[in-house]
Amino acid sequence: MLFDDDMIRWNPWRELPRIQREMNRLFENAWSPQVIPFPPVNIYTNKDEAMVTAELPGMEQKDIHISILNNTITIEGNRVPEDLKEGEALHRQERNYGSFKRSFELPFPANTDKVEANLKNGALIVRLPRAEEDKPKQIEISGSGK
Amino acid sequence: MAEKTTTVKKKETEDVSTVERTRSSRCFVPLTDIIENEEEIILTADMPGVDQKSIDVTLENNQLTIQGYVKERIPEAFRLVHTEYDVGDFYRSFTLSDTIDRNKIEASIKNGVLKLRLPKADEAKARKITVN
Repeated sequence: MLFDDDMIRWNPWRELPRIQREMNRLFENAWSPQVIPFPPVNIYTNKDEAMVTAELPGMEQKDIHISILNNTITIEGNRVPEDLKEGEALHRQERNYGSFKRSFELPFPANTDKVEANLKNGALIVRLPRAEEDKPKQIEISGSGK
Repeated sequence: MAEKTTTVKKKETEDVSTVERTRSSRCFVPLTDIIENEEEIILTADMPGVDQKSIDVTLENNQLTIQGYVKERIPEAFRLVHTEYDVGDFYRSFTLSDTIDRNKIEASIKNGVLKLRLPKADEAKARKITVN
């Protein structure tokens, strides 16, 4: 009964697995080449809006599907390689092809009616305004402040 | 379902040897496919964010250089919370052999993909010799 508060107290032994995990993560990153999925995605936010951008060179609007469920955005599509014609030889292939589906969780639910997606020169920008009911409300303090 | 959907991180230009950059933004090597047929060599380069106005293709002696300039598209009021790529310019150069007809090179860009057609000079085209 003496150590009833054990759960709260800092226990150095409990820290070990966490440190080990951290170390593993560090070494994994150091030795394997940094592989990222296609398409690469960046996410930006501020307090009223989130912005999801992706690099999708060569793709048309109709080839990309974007859906939003609660606070998860999903981008999917298929980048089809050009068929090699007869007599053609492929010397170098660095560009990425294939179908993809990528989902990301946003820090807040989006107002799905006001989402705007824009594809220009192979760069996709999706703007997702924060849902009105999720925005923090400023509360006025009443009473005289004396 | 998903086929080949992984890629190695965008490679930054290491050596811009003869040309010193005057812009401070980062610079990347565009991923490129090269296809050859009897008539021509077709070069396809991914340059997302680049359009007709922001691209330079130059041929000097036998050095073909492609440069694309990308404007920063992110307003300042945003904070980056997840990142998989960096935004920057593109630079890459190729050495052409004498078999390319320099006067007939065609370039077009659509949806951020540059396509260069490098037709072979007549004397370099493979000729089929009939055996009697």
